[in-house]
Amino acid sequence: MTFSDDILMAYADGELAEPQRSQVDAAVRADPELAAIVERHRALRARVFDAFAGVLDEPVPARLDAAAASKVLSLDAARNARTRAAATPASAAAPVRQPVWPRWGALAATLVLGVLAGSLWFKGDGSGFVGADGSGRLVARGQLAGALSRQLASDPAPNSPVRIGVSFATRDGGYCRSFSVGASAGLACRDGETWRIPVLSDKAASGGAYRQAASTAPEAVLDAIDERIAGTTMNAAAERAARERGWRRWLNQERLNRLRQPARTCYTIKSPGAQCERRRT
Amino acid sequence: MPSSQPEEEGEHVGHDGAEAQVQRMAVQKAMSLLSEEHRIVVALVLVDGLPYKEAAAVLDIPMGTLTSRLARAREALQKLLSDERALT
Repeated sequence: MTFSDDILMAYADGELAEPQRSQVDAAVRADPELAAIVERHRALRARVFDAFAGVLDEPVPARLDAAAASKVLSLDAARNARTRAAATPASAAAPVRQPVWPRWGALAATLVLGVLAGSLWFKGDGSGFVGADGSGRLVARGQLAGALSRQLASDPAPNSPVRIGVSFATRDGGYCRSFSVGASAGLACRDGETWRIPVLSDKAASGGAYRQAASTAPEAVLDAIDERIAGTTMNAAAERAARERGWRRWLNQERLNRLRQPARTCYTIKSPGAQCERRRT
Repeated sequence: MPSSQPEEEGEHVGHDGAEAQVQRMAVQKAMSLLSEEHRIVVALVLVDGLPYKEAAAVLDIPMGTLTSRLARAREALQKLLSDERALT
C-alpha cells in the first residue's frame, strides 16, 4: 500500500482518523523511508514552532524588579505578586510562575475603576478608554476597543494613542493582546464582542525588551501573558488572520460568507510553488 | 606588534546559544519569503497549533484543500530552508 505525501503529513501531525492511522502506522514501522518522511514533517513542525516560540523564552532581567517599580492597578496582578513574593522569601532572583490565577471578579474591577476614576482612563460619561460591563468587569471602550480590534502589532497606526504589544492565542481558546496607552500598559482578552481587561498597570520604565515591541511591558502584564498564553505570540500573518475572523477562534457565518469571495481565486492551484493570484483587493 | 582582535559581538544569547538563534532567524526569514497564502496556513497549523479542521474553517476551504495547501507550504518552506543562500 502506498501513501501520498499529504497522508504522511497528516499522520505526522496526528490528524489521521482510524482505520487510516493504523494502516499508516504499520507501513511506517515497516518502511524506514516512510519513517524518514514522517520524521521530516515532525522536525519541520518543531522547528517552525520553535522559531516563533523562542521569543517568549528569553529571560528578561527587567521583569525581576519591575513589580516593585510599577504601580499595579489590577487586583489580580497585586495578588499574583504577593503569591510570588511569599513563594520566594529570600530574593526575587528566581521568580516562581504560579499556575494559580485568581478569578477576576466584579469586586476587583470595581476597585480598579475606583483607582482610575477621574483619570483619562475612566470617565463616568463613557468617553474614556475603559468601562465596566454588565457584571462589573473592566472592558475596553472607545479608541482602545477600536485599536484592539483593528490595529496590528506589526503595523502600528501613527494616529492612534494605543500601541499594540503582542497578540497570542490563549489556553482556553481565545485571544489576548497586550497594549499600552501613554504611561500605562495592560492586557486585553477577547470575550464575545468586547475586550475584557484582566490587568492594567503603569508602564515600567525599564530596558527589557519584550519581543520586538517598541514599548516595554510591566511585570504584571508579562505575568498575565505567561498565565494565559498557549504556545507563542502571533506573527503578523496569524494576527491578520485572527483580525479577519473578529478575534474568534471560530468564524461566524457572516464572516465566513464575506471571506469566501476573494479567497476562491486561489483554490485551483495545480502546480506546487505557484503563486495565488490576487484578482482584486 | 599584532593588532588587537576586533571586539567580538559576543552577546549572551542563553544556554541554547547563538546557533539556535541563527536557526530561528533562518526559519523566520524563510517564513517571510513564503506567499501569504502559504504563510497563513503554516502560521495557523504549525505555529498556532490549530487542528486541520479548525484551520480549514478559519480559511473557509475544504479539508482536502487545506491539507494540500499545507503540504505545498511545507515543501516551499523546506526548500527555502535547505537553500541557505536565500536566507542570508
